Amino acid sequence: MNACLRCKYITKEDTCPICGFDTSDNVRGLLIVLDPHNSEVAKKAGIDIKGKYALSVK
Amino acid sequence: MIFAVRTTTGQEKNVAESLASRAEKENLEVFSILATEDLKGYILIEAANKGALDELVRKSFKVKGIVPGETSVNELDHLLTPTKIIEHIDKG
Ligand SMILES: [Zn+2]
Repeated sequence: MNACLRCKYITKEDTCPICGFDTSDNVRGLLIVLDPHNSEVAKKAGIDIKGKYALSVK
Repeated sequence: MIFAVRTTTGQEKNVAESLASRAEKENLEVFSILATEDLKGYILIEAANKGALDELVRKSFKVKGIVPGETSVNELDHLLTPTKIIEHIDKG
């Protein structure tokens, strides 16, 4: 499992499908955003697109 | 509202994924689900109200219980902005 180094979106690809940045498999944590418009957590994490995200990527 | 539920250690992410698909399928007012290696045996669920959470975990044998009370998003600062933690570790 990889995640984007910039937006932390989780993907199998080497390049992020959302922002086009490189991804890495050095991933910790999982944040599943189901409703970005109502989620305080998503707001805090700066996420506005529904999906699965890592909490940290290195 | 953010709630913590207890689950099996090591299964946090799997349980988060399965609860997320159920929330979608049953159209529950669940906004986000968070699992992290730093919080062993627990996952955090953000829902519109306690009723939505109860409905979500009701039929799940993987959830062992709901932690009484709720968490505020401010208490999650260290999880959502983990760069701060990494900076600390790198200095030490
Ligand atoms: Zn990205």
